[in-house]
Amino acid sequence: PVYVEAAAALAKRVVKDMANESLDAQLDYAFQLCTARRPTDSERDLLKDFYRSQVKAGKNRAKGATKTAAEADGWRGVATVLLNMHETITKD
Amino acid sequence: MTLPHYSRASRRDFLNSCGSGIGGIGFGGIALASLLNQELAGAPRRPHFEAKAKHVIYLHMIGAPSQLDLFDEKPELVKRHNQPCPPEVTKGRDFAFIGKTSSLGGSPWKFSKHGESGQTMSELLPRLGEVADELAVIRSLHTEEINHAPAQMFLHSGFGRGGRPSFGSWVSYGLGSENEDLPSYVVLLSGPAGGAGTSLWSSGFLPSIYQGVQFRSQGDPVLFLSNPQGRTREDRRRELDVLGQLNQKHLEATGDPEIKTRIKQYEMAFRMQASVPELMSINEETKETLEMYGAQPGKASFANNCLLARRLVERGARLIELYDADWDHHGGIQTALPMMCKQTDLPIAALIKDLKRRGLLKDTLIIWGSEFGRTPLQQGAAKGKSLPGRDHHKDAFTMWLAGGGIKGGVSHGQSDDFGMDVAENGVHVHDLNATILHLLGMDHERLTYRYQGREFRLTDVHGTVIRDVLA
Repeated sequence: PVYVEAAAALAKRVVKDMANESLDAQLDYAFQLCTARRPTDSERDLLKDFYRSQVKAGKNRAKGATKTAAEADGWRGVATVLLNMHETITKD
Repeated sequence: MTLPHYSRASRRDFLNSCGSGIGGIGFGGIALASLLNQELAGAPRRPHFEAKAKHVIYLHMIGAPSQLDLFDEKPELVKRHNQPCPPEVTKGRDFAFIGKTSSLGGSPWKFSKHGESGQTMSELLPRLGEVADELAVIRSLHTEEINHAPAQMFLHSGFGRGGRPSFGSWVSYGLGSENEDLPSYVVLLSGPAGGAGTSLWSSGFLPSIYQGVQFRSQGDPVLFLSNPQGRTREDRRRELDVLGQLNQKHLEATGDPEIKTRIKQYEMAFRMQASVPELMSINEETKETLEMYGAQPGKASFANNCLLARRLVERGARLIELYDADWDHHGGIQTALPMMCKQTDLPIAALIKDLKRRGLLKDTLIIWGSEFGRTPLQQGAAKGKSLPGRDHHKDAFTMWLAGGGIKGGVSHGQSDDFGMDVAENGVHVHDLNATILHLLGMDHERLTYRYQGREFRLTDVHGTVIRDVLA
């Protein structure tokens, strides 16, 4: 499905383009790519919590999963959420 | 980021969000359905008066079956077969493709009476004949449109062009859903969709939560129903939680009610990931039931869809519409019509019998019909084709109703000796739609929605309930 592939590509792009940046900066970048604006503080916090819980779940699921793999999993989740926001889809 | 004023929250939306306590109580029921909180769109709602039917199964034969070869016997046409039509009979009428000088065509099939009521049907419908006493047959339907797409629109929305809500959306809007895990308005296709396509189950100007949802008959019933590889249901839940909160913030900032719909539909989709595979697994039906319908698990067919319709009724779906393609017999009717009847006669009769033995028929209204009928004039005969057909005909055609609130074994209305026009008790599409809403407990004149400055109805400013077919 296109949304799954697009989310995977967006996740990869964020990790590549923002390799040495803070998590906040990475989230801002990803959010901006989708909505053309920065997230508010509370939006960023929501996504940050989500990213961390997703990384944790990734680590638990595959025992011995590398840090990179678990983080990639987290970004895939974030990208899925961002692409499915009403604001991203309708740009109203 | 600024919304144009017309798509911002209206006073009505504001009232909607003022809490669900006032819903329908003390305000004259669902005449004020739009006052109900949209959060409650899923919850069942109180009708105007006691409903005779809780569910509708609409069997739409796309293209228009020939009433003159199935339900409406015309000895006069048989007598005058291949003779020119008297000019006074076609005077003032338009046909889609043929000229008025086409010759008359009698039905090559024999008609007989069925059941205690003696409903007349042709030999092409032997199984339906077995349940003749359940049917109220209306032989005097008439409509406004002469071509498929506009006529399909007209039948579904009371308007021959796009943009209005379909009756299924009106019903969902009026009554809500009984099952939180499945859409209340489900569409199943056998063959391609009709000319008017997906607009036939569009919610038009109603909130899009009332739109019909199409299930595919083969493969995944809903595309990409299963999670992508490496994604668990827990992952999905977490995604939806954060997504819901982000969308909620957006909703609070803009007040656009369509965001509410999106949040609700994402949640519905999550629940459907579990409920739909269960619904669609007809292989858990007994062999006897499968054979009764002629259904085969894993195949896409009208028979399977009839069985699915029963399963949807059991799970609380409000309106289920089955579309069956290829009934547009301009030519070759002599071979095509028997083939189509063979595919549909058994499953339709089985559906009625099965619902009845499970005690569901009394709550389920079944409607069989099409966007129009076919002409008493032949098409293609003059060119020397060995197998002519019939053209579109809007002035007199047949539909039948059965089940919830319907008086079985009744015949209502008659066409003239040629089958050209209504001779007695004409039933306009608006009358039919008024009757459907009535059976569901709604007054078609009070089920309204305000849009672009005025109240709209499914029946526009027309429609009379057909009392003769009510139980």
